[in-house]
Amino acid sequence: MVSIDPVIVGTSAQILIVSIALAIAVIALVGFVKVRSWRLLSLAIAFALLACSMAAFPLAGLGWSYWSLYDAGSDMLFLSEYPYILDIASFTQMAAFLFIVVVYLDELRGRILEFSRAQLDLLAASIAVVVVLASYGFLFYGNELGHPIFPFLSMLTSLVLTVVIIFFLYAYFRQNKNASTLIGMTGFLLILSFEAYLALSYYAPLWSTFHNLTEGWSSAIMVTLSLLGYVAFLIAIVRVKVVHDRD
Amino acid sequence: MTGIRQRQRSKCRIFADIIKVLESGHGESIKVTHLLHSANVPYDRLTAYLAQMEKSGLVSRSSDGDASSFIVTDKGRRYLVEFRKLEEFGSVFGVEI
Repeated sequence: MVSIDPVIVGTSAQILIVSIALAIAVIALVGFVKVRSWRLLSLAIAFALLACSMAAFPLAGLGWSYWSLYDAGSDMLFLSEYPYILDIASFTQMAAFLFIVVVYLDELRGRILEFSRAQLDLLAASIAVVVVLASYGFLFYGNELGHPIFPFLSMLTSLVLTVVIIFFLYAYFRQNKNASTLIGMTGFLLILSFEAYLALSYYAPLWSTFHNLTEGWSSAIMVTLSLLGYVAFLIAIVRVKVVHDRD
Repeated sequence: MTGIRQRQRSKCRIFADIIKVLESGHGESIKVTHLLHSANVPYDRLTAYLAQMEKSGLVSRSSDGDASSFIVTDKGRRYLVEFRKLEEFGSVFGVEI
């Protein structure tokens, strides 16, 4: 009987995520070059950052001893001894989603927020400073207390993604219930499920039940769910192209 | 309390709106005064945008006495097609470009 390694499944999913995120970044960048929309440039930067952060996981796996990245007897990723590159990757991923939030704030500016451009820049800079200080506080002092940074980053990323989804709901109802927006929102919900799992599996003991039930497959399953989120983006992009060409 | 304020359009969207108005002329040049009302842009900003669009080759100017009028170029039409595609791409991420 052929046994499938959950690590191989998880790594393959991460490599596919990198490819899709890079493709989206390239489309947004080409769009920026064509119409000079700064929001498209921001999306391009956000997805390039997501691709870089996701690439760090399989690259770290290839670069160092593959199994040393995993806890013995556990499929939980990076719970104990793990290289700093993965902290940076988690941080980069959160920064990417924050970038998207700033794009939304810019869009809401003048619509329902009484912000000037300068006030928005100040708000974005303040959020960035607070997040950087909090993250590095955890990185330097949390590790000393035996508290790894990645669950904290996953929790922050989950919160940022929740804000993204709230903005999506707003966009969905504003854009006359555009189906593409709904598919895109589903993509972010699936990515949120992975991040929330990483955070909850550390902070909520209940999640160890899920880990036990899945017999070492929980991380691979959740990374695959995250991959499905990116696939949802691809489906939505292909769909808008088909609808556009038909019109 | 004024309720929901009018949205602030991005520059590329204003360019697209101006090109849409010029396209509605079906090859006839459109005067700046008509663009002012149809594209809903203040005069000083409109003239600055039109100068920029002319420099980029999106529109071409034809002077009739003191009044300037504009016509959309092929490059301008291609810009509008690309803008519409990218507008739909942005909608996937809930973003209005």
